[in-house]
Amino acid sequence: MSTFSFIEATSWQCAQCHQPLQPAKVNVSYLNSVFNVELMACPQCGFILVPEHLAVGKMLEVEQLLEDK
Amino acid sequence: MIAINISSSQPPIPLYEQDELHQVTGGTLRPGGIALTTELLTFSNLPPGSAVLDVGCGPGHTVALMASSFGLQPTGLDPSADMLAKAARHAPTASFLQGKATAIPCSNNSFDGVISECVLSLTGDIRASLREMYRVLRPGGLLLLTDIYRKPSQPQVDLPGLKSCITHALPLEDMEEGLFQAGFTLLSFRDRSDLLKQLAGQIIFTYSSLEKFWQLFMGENAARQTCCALFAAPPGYYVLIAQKGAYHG
Repeated sequence: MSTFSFIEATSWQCAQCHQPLQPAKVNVSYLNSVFNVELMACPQCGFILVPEHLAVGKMLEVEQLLEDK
Repeated sequence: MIAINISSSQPPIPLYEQDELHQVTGGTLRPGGIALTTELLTFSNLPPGSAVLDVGCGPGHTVALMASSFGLQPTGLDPSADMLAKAARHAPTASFLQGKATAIPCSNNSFDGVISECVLSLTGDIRASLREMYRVLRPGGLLLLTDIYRKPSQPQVDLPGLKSCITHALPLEDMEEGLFQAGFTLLSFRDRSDLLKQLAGQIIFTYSSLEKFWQLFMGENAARQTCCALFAAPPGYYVLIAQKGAYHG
């Protein structure tokens, strides 16, 4: 299966629920496509932490692919 | 379907037989996965009880779907005994045959529908395969087809050691000519190249990068070469429904 995961220990917690984040399988919708990604999320409200290396790293790769750049 | 050479001394190993790859698309290694198959079968409106042949059935996910969700009577055809064994476990009530698309081991006018997903380019002779699909369909029967195609003005991707639908992608004109020569009438055609991109994007999220994905099956240099070639000449993907004319035998 996956050899890569965005799940990592983090000191972030949900500001609204005050819950420590836990690993979760989520669907990320981006540029009219949906991807299954493992990310850290609030177990109560489902709010998801998008780490910087995902936002400016993998997302950029996917964006280049989806937009024919 | 994709097949690769691990080394030059070994025959190509079909990539779609690798269990870990099935995770990327929920059991199938083709753009759109089982969701596109569901969409295609729904749109075809084949009534329950219809006999449908899956040409290149692989591990049998489509065969199982046809039996369980659409009430169809599916038959799976594949050249690989290993794939047929897996398919029989997925769809125990279905029938299976070992054979090739270019010589389907069935009599004329046997099926109400023929489905073939991401297989046609790999059959070696798409005209012969389409003629065979036409032959085994009953008059008025439907052909449900999905496959990769080569976009206009793009060269054939040359990747030594990689035997795949990517390296065998043909221009749409070749497929259309094969359809019409066989006697089919085209009912519906949709370009779904977006699904090919979605699959590539999912691979990036799952395996970190496309290059790392290819490295699972080949050396670093070959993986880099594969990524560059596909980036320079990305293929397209189509979905179509064609019909065997009511007045053709």
